[in-house]
Amino acid sequence: MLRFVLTRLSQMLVSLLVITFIVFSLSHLTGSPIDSLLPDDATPQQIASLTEHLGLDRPYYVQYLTFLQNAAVGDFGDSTKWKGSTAAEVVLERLPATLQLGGLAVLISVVAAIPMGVMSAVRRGSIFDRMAGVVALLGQSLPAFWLGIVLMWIFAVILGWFPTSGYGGLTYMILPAVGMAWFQIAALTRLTRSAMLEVLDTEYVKLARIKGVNERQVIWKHAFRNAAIVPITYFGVLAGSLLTGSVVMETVFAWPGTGLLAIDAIRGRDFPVVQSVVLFFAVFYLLANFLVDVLYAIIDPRIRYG
Amino acid sequence: MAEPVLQVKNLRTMLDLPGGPVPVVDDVSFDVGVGETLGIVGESGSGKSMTALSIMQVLPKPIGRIDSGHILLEGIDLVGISEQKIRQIRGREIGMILQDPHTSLNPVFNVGNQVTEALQIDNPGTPHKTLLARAVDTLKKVNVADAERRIHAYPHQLSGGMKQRVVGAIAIAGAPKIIIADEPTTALDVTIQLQYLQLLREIQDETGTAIIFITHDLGIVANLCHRLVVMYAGKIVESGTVADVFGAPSHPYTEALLKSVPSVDRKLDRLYAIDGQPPALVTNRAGCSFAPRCPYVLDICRIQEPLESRGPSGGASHCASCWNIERTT
Repeated sequence: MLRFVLTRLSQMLVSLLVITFIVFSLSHLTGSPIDSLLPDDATPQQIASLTEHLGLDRPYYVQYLTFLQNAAVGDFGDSTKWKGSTAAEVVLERLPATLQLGGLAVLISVVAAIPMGVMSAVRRGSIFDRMAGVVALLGQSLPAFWLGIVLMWIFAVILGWFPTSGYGGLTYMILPAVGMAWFQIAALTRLTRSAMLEVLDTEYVKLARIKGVNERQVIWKHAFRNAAIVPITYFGVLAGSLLTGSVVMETVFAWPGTGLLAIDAIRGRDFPVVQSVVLFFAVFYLLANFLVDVLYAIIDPRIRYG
Repeated sequence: MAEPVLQVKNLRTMLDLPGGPVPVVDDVSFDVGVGETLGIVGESGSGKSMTALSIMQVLPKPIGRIDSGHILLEGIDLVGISEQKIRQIRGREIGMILQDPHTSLNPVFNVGNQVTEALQIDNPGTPHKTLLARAVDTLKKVNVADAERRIHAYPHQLSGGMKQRVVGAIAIAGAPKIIIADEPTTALDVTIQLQYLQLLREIQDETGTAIIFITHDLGIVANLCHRLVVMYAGKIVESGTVADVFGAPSHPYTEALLKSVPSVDRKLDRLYAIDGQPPALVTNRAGCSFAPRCPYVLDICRIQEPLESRGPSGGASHCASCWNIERTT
């Protein structure tokens, strides 16, 4: 098990290195930052001196290595849009808001979707199953911005249960979190249902019943543990996308998270902030997928010893 | 025959298929006595396994259901009793061994876990250590070598024969009065098959449990069983002691099955095969299901279902459902 974890960790480091290179290269493909930093009537001398100051005249690989060296200690340079702060500071400031909202959205998704998917499969064809099917259909077909506004209109404006928007405690987070979880619940419910249907049909589930195991244990111990591989795989995608923030929900509910920050930084050609945001997103995806790999190994001995 | 442990009376099991309900077990009756081995023989799709699943009441959900009939375990009818009561009977009173050992163990739990689970049902609240020790004992009973170490193994680390022994251990864990073995050796290679059959016989000698052995292998029936029933298209077409049925097969289907078994004594150019296909699952059919493939078919066979009559062997329990036991054509 330890060897498994170490192998996965080292693979993760390799991925991270590749990602830093892509992040570094991408931001250089969008044009030189000089154009946005200096006024249109800047003299060639001014351009040359800033280019030299930023190190943009040095060879590509040297620039990359410098970037890597600095990134390792969390230094992505100063933000060009938010004057007076380093890029890392700008991102770290937004991080708690995003993690709170994303964490709640992940929790809501899992708590709602897993039991719903499992029960749909167990009571296949029942009214419950059909209703869950409708929920899943709505979840995958309603556009997020529309859903956000409708949630706000019903629960904040008409019913007045929650504040309409802004940053604050749990009451502020519930509507945007539900909005973010909505699509994920639909996908996760469907995946769980189909995985469970397949497993419930196996001989080992039949043998568990033959042994006299009670139905709840047949479903949750024998069947779900085997079916869990599929929703866990999706959990990697889900956690990655929710924890990195949602541009649409953050805009609708004026939530000061990293989703909004990314858009602002890209529009302002703020390379240091874009790089640190993207790298932060990438690290989250990597961590989520690492967690998924470890979970696989915990639930399935064939992966652990394979 | 000894006092019956299990009596199946006029059992009818339906599958609700898209085209309408289809009887997959149709008016099946048989008894199994204490310490007796009953063979159920037939082709794939003849209703052998469905009969077993009906007794266990683990028919495929939601399409399978027992339509009518009785399953008496020591006189108590299992048809229509509550899910909770039947659960107490599964594993404890009736054990079962499934066909394919590679798929019948749960891949994510180790052997010890899966055997103790069967033991625990009978003794809730027993400390885990005691249960593990008993699991080791149970595994030793089914000749699992090195059982102390093997309880920590996962199914994918075991061979097919070893897995089937573990399934056997699970079946005997609750000291059942009857074990239903549904083609337990079909997926094993021949030398392991023999060992496994020997093992079943040893368990029976030791515990006096009754065995229902479902198979299409007549050689096994001849070796292992006391009596047999032959099933075709959901119905029992012939039943009797092994000596009577093998000595004087009275249903043309049984006769054909016996002819299909190759023998080392006879030189053959080609194997004997029964013409045609077993009938598809249909809702209604007139006459004898075997009529389209039968070499002795009479006009009446296609119109009216044959009644059960005494077999020509003269054995007290030898019966066959055929209009033409005397073979007039």
